[in-house]
Amino acid sequence: MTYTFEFDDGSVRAWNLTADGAESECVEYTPSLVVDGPATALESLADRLASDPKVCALGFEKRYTSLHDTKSDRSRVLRVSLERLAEVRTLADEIRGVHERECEATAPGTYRLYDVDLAPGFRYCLDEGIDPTPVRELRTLRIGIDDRSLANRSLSELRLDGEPVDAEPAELCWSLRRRLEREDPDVLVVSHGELIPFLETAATEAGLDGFHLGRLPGSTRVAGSNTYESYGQVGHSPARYRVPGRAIVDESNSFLWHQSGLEGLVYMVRRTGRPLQEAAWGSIGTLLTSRQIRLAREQDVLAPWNKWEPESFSDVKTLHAADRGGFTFAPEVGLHENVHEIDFASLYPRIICQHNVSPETVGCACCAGDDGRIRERVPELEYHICREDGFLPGVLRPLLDDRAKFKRKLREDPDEAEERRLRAKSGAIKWILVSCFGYQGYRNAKYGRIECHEAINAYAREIMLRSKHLLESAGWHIVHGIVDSLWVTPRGRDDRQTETEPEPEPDPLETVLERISCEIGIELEHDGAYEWVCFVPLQGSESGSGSGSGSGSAGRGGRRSETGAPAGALSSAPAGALTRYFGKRTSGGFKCRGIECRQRSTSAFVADCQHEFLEVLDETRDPEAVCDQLGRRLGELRRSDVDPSDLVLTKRVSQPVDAYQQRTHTVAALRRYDRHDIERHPGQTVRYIVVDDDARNPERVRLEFELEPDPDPESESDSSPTYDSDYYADRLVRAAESVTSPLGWDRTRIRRYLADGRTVQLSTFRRR
Amino acid sequence: MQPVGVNRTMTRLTLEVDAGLTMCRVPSTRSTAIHHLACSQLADGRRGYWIDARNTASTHVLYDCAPSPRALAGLQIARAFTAYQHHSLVRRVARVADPRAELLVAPNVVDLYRDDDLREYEREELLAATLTILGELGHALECPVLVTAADEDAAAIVSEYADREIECLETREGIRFEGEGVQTEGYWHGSYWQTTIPYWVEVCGALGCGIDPAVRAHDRGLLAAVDGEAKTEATA
Repeated sequence: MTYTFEFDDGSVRAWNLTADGAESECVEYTPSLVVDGPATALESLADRLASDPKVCALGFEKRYTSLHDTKSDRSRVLRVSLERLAEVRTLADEIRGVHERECEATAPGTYRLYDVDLAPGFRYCLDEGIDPTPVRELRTLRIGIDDRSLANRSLSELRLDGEPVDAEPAELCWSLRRRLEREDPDVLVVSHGELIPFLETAATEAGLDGFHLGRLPGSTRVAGSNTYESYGQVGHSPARYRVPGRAIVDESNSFLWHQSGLEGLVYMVRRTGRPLQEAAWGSIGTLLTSRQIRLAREQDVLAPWNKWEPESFSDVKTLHAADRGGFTFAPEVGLHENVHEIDFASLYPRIICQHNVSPETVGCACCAGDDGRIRERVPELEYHICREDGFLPGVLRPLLDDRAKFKRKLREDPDEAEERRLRAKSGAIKWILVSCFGYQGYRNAKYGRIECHEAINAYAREIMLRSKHLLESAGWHIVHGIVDSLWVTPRGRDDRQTETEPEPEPDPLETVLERISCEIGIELEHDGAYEWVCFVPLQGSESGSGSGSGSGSAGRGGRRSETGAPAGALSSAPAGALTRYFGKRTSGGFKCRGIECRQRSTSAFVADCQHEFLEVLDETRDPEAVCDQLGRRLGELRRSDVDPSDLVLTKRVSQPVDAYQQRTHTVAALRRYDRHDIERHPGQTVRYIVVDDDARNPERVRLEFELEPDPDPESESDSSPTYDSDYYADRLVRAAESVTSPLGWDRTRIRRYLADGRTVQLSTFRRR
Repeated sequence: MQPVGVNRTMTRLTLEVDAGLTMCRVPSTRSTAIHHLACSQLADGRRGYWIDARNTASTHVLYDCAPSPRALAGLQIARAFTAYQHHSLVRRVARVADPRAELLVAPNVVDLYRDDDLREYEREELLAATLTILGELGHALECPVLVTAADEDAAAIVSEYADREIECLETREGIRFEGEGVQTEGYWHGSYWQTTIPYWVEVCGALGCGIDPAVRAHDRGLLAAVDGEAKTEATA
């Protein structure tokens, strides 16, 4: 029943949903952390903490400190209970930073801490055994504003549930209060967390007494904004706020909300045990960790604060075999007709479940040295797998089962609302499943272990190679394969057959897929059928640039000729980029990966043009026709016929403006945001058009909103920017090159063709 | 499956260093100097432990540097991804090391201790403990402990604990090692050996001083400006 919480000195205000609203109750709560270490060191720590006013209770108990330990005995650990939740982290730092140093004979790293960095609501639910899943449909109210208005402290652009509110600030706050009272929402979905203090201040300034966004007065800032780095990418998380009795979803800080909305969020609350507001701001990694922590707690395993547990020593041969990464078949550059994409559904999580891969099962101590006892050995590696059911499969199996169930229901043609719900939940699970494998190798994953990561990879490689063999023996040829997907085409005649012989028919694909699924034990699915697919060469690897015959159909067919290279392709085949390809679905439409139109730093104009190039290629299979279309669009660019709003580029800020070594577009854009007093942090994006690429100052770009007339008449921003046609022309040529390069046409050849000023083909005139 | 050696430049060297901590000054964290040094010690499958940081322990490079795959049979590697894991590994070696171990290796030994996930108050002490244990282990096991430092700050920290220092220089021919107990004998260029002065000194006996001062200056990049000028003159 409880779904949202506020924490104050030593107590919790828990909100229970009722049929027509929510009721609160205040309860005492004593959070605690756990310390492990040698017995004498723990005794002396307990003595020292006894006089600490933050600490309200101390006690020794037996707990598992790692998943590995579940194979042996529990450790005797010290549980330290605190008066206040906010002091858990402070005490943890004191134990490591003060007590560990001052205790005699304790080396650095003597004390290992557990249950330290848990989100407050999650911790409370974990300790008290509460399921925070909402028991009825939640009522939401969306409050939105744009960046510029928020920076200018202007409420004129405020929207409630997407509708603009055309009113003076006082009237606006009044009508917001009316809506809050009338609708009594359970969840506030705000475009920016900063709206919460802003609205409350605005209401006070407008003389509206007693205005509050929560079910009771008051709002709290629970975390400041910060910039972080994760997987090599810089991110920014804005400050977080809490209002009594209502969960807040900050749209600018919620991956899950964007991916799968409220339905997906509620599903994840159920599966992770994180209350709604904390699930909303959690990253996928955080959500996965929460689910792991909750299931580990059920097995009496603690959540480590830091990652102390290292991998085991192994010899060079084992490491060499293990450290090989995922599986790839190099793509055959060129245009291939009649291609099918097939993939294993959720390959990695299914491997984990099928082969019982888990931190405590890979190379477990309980089965070591007893071949009769172990469950199996990991292919190519010397790791064995424990026969007892593992932890990680227990984390993932319910998610896999749910996803399969939702997908099955989706195939039964549900009504629109149900379909939306199913898709949202299925989408939320998908992200967890996608990340569960990489997370095993992530340095700070609480229950991650690199050996699991390696074992999963080893199984995946074996499965892909086995599938390749089975496909080939059924008459299919593999044109590309990566991780869990394969692209296949009928093999056709082999070298010994003459052209007069009929092409051999491969076994029907569905039959082969069924055979493989059955043998591997993981379903191999038909993901898509394509009239043709092009694999793009790696940049700089195009062989014979600008040379070769003028044949527009070079590379067509993609079957192997006697030389082993794709038929019709240039003699030394260029290397293919693993994740850059495009194709025409037999059901209509294109699938594109890794090319310009998929990149968010590409302007709408260039993306649209690239789609046109694909259509031309589809109709003609002729690079010259693509170039003719390119020439037409270049003409428009140069005549300034393109709407500047179609030329907006989006870039992610990776560091503070002063840290940039080079004067990039991003720097120029950041300087302009600064002029408007709009803060942009690393991890956020900037949107601009390039007006003079040769300039090295803020005049190089204009921000998207500077294209529109400024709502503030006193502002001095210039409103008539042009665009740098040379810059966009270069982008456009690159986009065309991606489309023609599989056929052997690189940008040198494109430019030469355009410069020749040949008679433009009729096909160009058929298109607008 | 064993990898096939590639045509990369390899250095032939002899290393005879005493027990204790030896700091190898390397030009970058990605330098393969430590692989060469370790492999020169590990011939005949002698036992050793490699405590890795930042994925330095590329097995491809090790196979390339080793005279034969068998030479690496006694090497045990474990990779740390956090400073906490690194320190745990050092302690683990202290607890379980085979008394016959003849080499310990810890490349980029300072690196992980600079990460954000470490609290300021424990950064220095944890690293100090790691370096102290490594040094003591070297003396207890009576074997060399090779650690690398790629920048001035790292070198300044490690030198407080190191018993000696080896300088590893990237030259046009390959990596050259300088310091007490190490000698660079030649560079393998895939199809021929480029020998060095010390090699001929070894073969024919010494004539005068060791390495020519001009060679030393060049390897440290001190002659770059002169080279540049010479080129300008030539093209003018």
